[in-house]
Amino acid sequence: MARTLQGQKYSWQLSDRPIGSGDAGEVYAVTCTDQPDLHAVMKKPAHIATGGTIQRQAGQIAQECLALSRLDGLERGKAHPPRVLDQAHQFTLGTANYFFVSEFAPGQNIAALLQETRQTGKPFPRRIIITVLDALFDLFARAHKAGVLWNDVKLDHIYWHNPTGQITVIDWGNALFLEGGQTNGQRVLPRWEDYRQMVDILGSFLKQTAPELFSDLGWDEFQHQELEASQVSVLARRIAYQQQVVALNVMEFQSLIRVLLKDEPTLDGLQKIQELQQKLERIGAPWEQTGVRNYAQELVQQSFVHKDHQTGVRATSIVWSLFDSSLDLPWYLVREYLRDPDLIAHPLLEPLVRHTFRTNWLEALWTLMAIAHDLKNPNWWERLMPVIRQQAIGSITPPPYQICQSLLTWYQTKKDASQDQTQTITRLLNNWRTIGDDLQKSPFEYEIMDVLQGEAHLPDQIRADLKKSFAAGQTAIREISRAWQHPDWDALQAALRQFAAWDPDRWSILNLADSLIIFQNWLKELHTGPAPSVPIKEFLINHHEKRQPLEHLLGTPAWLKMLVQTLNLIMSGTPIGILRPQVEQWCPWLLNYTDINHGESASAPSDEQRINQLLSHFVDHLRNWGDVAPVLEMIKTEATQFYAFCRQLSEGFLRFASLSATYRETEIMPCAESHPALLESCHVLNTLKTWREHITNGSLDRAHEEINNQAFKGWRVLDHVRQQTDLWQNKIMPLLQSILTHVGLTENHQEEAGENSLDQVVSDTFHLIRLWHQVYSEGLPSTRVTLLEESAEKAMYGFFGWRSAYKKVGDRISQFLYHNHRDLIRQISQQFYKLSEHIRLAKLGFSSLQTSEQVSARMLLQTGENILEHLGAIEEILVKSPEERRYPEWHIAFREVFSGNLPLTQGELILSLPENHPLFAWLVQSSFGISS
Amino acid sequence: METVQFGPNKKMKLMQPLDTWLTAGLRDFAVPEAVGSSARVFTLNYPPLTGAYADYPVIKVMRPDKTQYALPLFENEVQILHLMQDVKGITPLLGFGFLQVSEGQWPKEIAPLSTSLEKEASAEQIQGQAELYNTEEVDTFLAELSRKISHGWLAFLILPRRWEDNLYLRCDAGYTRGEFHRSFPVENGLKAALQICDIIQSAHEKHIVYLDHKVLHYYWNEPRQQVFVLDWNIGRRVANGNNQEVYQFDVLQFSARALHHLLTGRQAPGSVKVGPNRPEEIQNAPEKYEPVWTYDDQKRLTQDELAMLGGAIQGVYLTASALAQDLQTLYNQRQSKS
Repeated sequence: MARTLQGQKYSWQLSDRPIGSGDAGEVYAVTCTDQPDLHAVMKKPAHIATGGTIQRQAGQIAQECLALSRLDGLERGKAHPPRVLDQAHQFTLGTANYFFVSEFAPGQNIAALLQETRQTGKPFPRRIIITVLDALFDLFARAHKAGVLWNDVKLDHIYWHNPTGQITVIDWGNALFLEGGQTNGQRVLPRWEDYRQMVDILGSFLKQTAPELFSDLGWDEFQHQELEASQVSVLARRIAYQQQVVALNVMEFQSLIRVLLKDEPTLDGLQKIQELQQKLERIGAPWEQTGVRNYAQELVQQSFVHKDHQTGVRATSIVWSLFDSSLDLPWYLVREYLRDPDLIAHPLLEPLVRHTFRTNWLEALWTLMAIAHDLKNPNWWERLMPVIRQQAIGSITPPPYQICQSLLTWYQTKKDASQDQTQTITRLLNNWRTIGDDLQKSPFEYEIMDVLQGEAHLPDQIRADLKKSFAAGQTAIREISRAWQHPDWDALQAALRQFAAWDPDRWSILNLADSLIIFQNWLKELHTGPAPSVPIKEFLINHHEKRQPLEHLLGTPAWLKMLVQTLNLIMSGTPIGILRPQVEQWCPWLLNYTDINHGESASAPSDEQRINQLLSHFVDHLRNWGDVAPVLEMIKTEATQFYAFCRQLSEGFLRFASLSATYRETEIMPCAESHPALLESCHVLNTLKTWREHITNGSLDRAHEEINNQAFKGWRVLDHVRQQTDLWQNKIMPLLQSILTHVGLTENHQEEAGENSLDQVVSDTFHLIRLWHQVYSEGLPSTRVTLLEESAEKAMYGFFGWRSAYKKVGDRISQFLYHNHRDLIRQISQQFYKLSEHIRLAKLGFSSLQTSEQVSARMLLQTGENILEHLGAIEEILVKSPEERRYPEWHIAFREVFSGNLPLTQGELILSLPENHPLFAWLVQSSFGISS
Repeated sequence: METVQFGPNKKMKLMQPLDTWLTAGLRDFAVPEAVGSSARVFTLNYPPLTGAYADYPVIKVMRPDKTQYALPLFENEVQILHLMQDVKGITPLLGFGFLQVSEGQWPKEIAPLSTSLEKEASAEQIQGQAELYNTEEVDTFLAELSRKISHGWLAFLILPRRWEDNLYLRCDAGYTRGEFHRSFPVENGLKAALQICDIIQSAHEKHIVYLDHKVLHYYWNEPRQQVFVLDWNIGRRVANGNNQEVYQFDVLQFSARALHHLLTGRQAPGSVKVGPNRPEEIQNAPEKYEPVWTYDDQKRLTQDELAMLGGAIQGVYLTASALAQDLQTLYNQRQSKS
């Protein structure tokens, strides 16, 4: 039974056992009975202790309570002692019944974190180290001001809460009070004791976890000696500086990840994100996980769409390095797919990955079956199928094939088992996956049920599994039958997938599904009718022969019986008029004929005129880029023989600028076979198809030439394509090339520039380069770095603005042209992104140099090196000609100053540097220049 | 040449088969892929050729039903091993000759993984007469080869038995369940590949090509960190010594089969499968293979290693020494990281 203790304010329920105990008493987790949401910790004397010990512990606990009450959580500080929430009544002071209750310290203590990082082999996050050090200085200053000396600096007493970055410092039982200021007769002020303990205790921790930081902070200068105010102040400033650097780095890396996430996903981008993530992990800072996961998912899917398998595989391996076991099931499955080379090379991998990511499990299982069927029983089937099946049907009931395997094992181990039964089940299992493959036998045949009919001694488990499983199977088969009776083609395909989820080892169901699609298309063709040049009798005879016989597998529903009868009657020469209702339903185009033996169209000469009129009307709609659906419907009923061709034409006009990766329809339309009224539209469509081909082949010139050489008049679509191609050929492409190569950049563009325009980007890029060239003549003060940063960001965001505005344009021709020039656009984005990154990092370096008095010499030199590296990278982007670049030699000159290889002193070497060297001014003013 | 009787209670005895099973890490595995197309291989108990520690040699006997097919292969192997006898990593000839069975049947190809199977698979009951030549009598043996075969004799070769781990069992992802980084780290794979390249280069310098580069033919001596190769019967002597294409094809076959297997646990897609391969299968093999890297390849190998292997299976390397040079660089990179 949990104990409850009454405090001055509330009553508290204690945990059954103490969560900690020691020389100073016991600590319990407690819950406030008046406010059940309030959880806290209670400190009280140990319940098994002698009288003297109880008195000592109670005194110490009271002392801690007093210290914490005085500090009251140091609300504005960077680290917080826990606030006192309650305490026992005053009369219990000095007794075993005394206690006080304080806030919980959230997170983990530093000692536990250190142990955890040792176990995982990861570096201890620098952000935590530096934030804790900085917070401790702040805590000491505030606590001492409140007259309290902590006097118990230990890693176990400092708690870090990662999500909020909150630091809590516990265990103030050794606290001393500084009433009266400096103690008489003592050489060192007791308040320096906290700093001394911190320097000694955290020093060894720092040396182990972050030796570089230990050296950068010059920690050893302060260890094992009595500290003075000036030394504490120097150490505090150095720590504050490091904290600022870490905070700036975190901000920098996080924003760089955000910039990358806004761009189109690429492998380079993902690798860059990984590098940044590693830096952030080392620092111990959080990063944008959801965004990165979505970015990677899109990249993987796109790679498989574009058949770039290696990018997909590489991206998946990076995702696993980034997230590891925190990834969800689709990622686990995708990784398994990508472990098998045959699966990687299979054309159905793309839909499999797509369905898996979208958790469309029925389709994923169906696709997996298709691949397994194709690869003839691959070894991954038994591994992957059960996982996807479980997701698809939401249960773990074994599939029938597995139940039969258990049955076989049972027969084999049974002493009096009949040899025949074992052989029969073995045969059934061997044929399970192939039965019905040739569509001669039904895939719904389960002989196993007949075999087991008279078997009275089946084990209960197998019998129950079989009963349950086959009941589900019957439901799936009933659903297929119902959809076939109606017929409802979508429902039929869905029912087949349900059946496959029940028995994924019955692979012949895939062939049945394919045959049903062929049958459906057969019906569509029958409904559309023959091409104008094909005689109707010939069409009907050929078409009738092509029909998939499915009756023996699915039965003969009334509609199929009727259809077959109608077709037989038509082919035997029965007048169409007698069969009107059936013909209207299945092949309405036949209504124009009296019967198939009289080949002439039933339409009168006046109807020919109507056909002409309809087709011209249709072409007018195409020409004006209008909605052709209504006129197409009219053609379907009144000029049926041209319906198929017209539909093909209208689809062609609709899809010639399709962005779908599966669109491959570039075949030229056979114009000569069509009606004269359709001739021009057919030629126009062929021109557009050729234009498309040139664009997708990367030949804008030829596409431009193709579209401009055509003299078709009044075609709005053609005019628009011409206009857009002109725009890309004469304006957008030259501007993009200029931005990328910096050739032909001029300021003139600015006059025409508007928001989100490429002209503005060109102008901004021109300014950026001009600004950069001033660096050579006028040096690089920090103000110019800021100007460079502003200028680069203006150009970059201008370009991103143009890009996202263009992406949102509803016009599909523009979209198509944009889509086919993505590589160039991506290159420019990358160039801007790199530029911005290097400028920011160079700026960060310069700001470090400005506060150089707090930094060690080694770190200063490293910062100088980094600045020159970033400036060199900026120069590489902005100055295309290697001969014009200056930074490589400036970098060498900088290194030579500190190499010690030359006979001159450091000061002389610094003074010998050119005055426009970016670090000249700093070097001259720095201790390097002064010391010599 | 000496004439020796073989069979039960005779000085020379044929014992358990060695072409149906393999050993790795003190465990025996039935490996159907180990079966050869032209010969059967058995342990040989013949005291003059048995080592000091009862290390029996092996006898590789022509398949009686395939003598015409096997004849040129045996001829090749004897010639090549004679020329290559001083090269490090070669399994040298101890003797060769002809035998004629007077009583008993050749056993079925069964892995002797249990006592009853061992009995069934053993050739101990076979008896007959053997004409044994020593390694100096190569020319006499070759001169007699055709005539003897036409008179119903079977040619045989005697070689030391390889006790080391077969690299197929160390590397093949199927046998190691993909965990072959434990049984054969990439570093060892690169080292073994380097040594194989040296052997290939030595062979090429002697105008010999190996061609049958299945990883099953390579053994790894762990203590000495040395690779050993056997079975040169599909290899051949190149008549025109300057025929660079033939040597390049040999390097390509090594890359697509053994090297790919060593580094990824499987052969390059489309390459000749591990099994009883015939010379024409290898001659008709593609001259270029498209790399397909799996998730595990990406995790196991560095981008540089993938690039090297991708290049190798696409025929980028013209000579074994060029490939060895890149393998050495990659091996050094691995070494410096560890």
